[in-house]
Amino acid sequence: MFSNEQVNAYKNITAPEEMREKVLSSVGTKKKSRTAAYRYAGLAACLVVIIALSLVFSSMGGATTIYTDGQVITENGVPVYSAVSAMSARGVFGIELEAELEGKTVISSADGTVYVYDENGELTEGETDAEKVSIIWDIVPTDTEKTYVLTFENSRGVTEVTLLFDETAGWMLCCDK
Amino acid sequence: MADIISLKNDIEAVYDMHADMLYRLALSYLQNNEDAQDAVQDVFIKYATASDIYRDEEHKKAWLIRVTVNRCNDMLRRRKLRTHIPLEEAYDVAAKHEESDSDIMKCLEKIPLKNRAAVILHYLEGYSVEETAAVLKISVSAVKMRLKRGREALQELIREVE
Repeated sequence: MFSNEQVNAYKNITAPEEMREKVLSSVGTKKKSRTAAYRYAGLAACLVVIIALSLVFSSMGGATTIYTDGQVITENGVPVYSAVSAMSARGVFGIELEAELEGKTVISSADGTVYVYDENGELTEGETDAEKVSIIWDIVPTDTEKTYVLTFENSRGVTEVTLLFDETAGWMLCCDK
Repeated sequence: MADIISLKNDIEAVYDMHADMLYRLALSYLQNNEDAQDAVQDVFIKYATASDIYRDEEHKKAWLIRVTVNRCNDMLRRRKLRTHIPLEEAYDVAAKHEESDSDIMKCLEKIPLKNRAAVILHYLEGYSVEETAAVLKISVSAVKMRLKRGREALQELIREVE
C-alpha cells in the first residue's frame, strides 16, 4: 500500500522538542486522581445527557437498520450462515436481509442482483418508500480478497452492507454508516 | 511529594516511549503541527489524571492511541463548527496548513477519518490486523473493512493524480 520510502518518511516524523516541555510542564501540575464527589458529579451529568439523547433519538425514529437471520448487522460483522447453506450449485449466494428504512430509499449494488420486496411482498423497483423491506441479494462471490457492497441511500444518509471473507469466520456481512 | 515525583517520572518515561508515535498519529488527523501538539498534550493530561490500571505496556500504549484518535476526532468536529474565520486568523490557518505538506501526510489526509487509524497502525506502524483490532477495540473483520476502504481511497487518489 505504501512504499518503503513513504513508511520511512512517516516513521521519521518525530515530536518537536518544544512539545516535550509543553507536555511535561502541563501534566506536572495535575493531580493523579479526581475526588469521588467530582467523579460522581461527572457520572450524573453523563447519565442526564444519555437519557436526554435517547429520548431525542426515540422521538426521531431510527436510521437504516439492516438484519440478517434476525441479527442486526453491525460494523463488527455477522456471519452469513443461511446464505452459505442456501448456496446454489452455480455458487450463487442468496443473501436474505431485512431492513427498516426511513423515507424514500434507493437500494443498489454493483455486484449481483438485488430484489427488494415491500411489506406486502410486492417486488419494488428503483426507490422504495416502505418502512420495512425484505431483500434477496443474489451474488456470486468469486474472490475472497474482494468485498461486495450493497448500498442504502436515503435522506438519513448512505448505509453500506459489505460482504467480505474472513479466514476464521468465513463470509461475513458488515454494516458501515 | 513522593507521589508527585513518581508521577512525573512515569509521565516522562511514557512520553519518551510513545510521544513520537502519538504525535505522528495526531498530525495525520489534524494536518497541523500546533493542533497535533495540543492533542498530544491533552492526551498526557488525561493520562496523568486518569485512574485507569494498565495490564502491561501494550495495554497502556493501546489506551494512549485510542485517546489520541478520540481527541483528534473531537478537535476536528470543533474545527468543522468554526466555519467562520476572521480574515486575520485565515492567514494563520493558511500558514499552518503548509507545515504538514509532506507527501505521506497528504496521502493520509485523503483516507476517510474512520479508516485512518487502522491504516496507520497496520501499514505504517507495523501492527498486525489482530493487534490493530485489539488496539482500536473493534473486530478483525471491521479492521479488514477499514483497511479495504483506506486502500480504495488511496487508489482513487492515485487515479486523480494520473
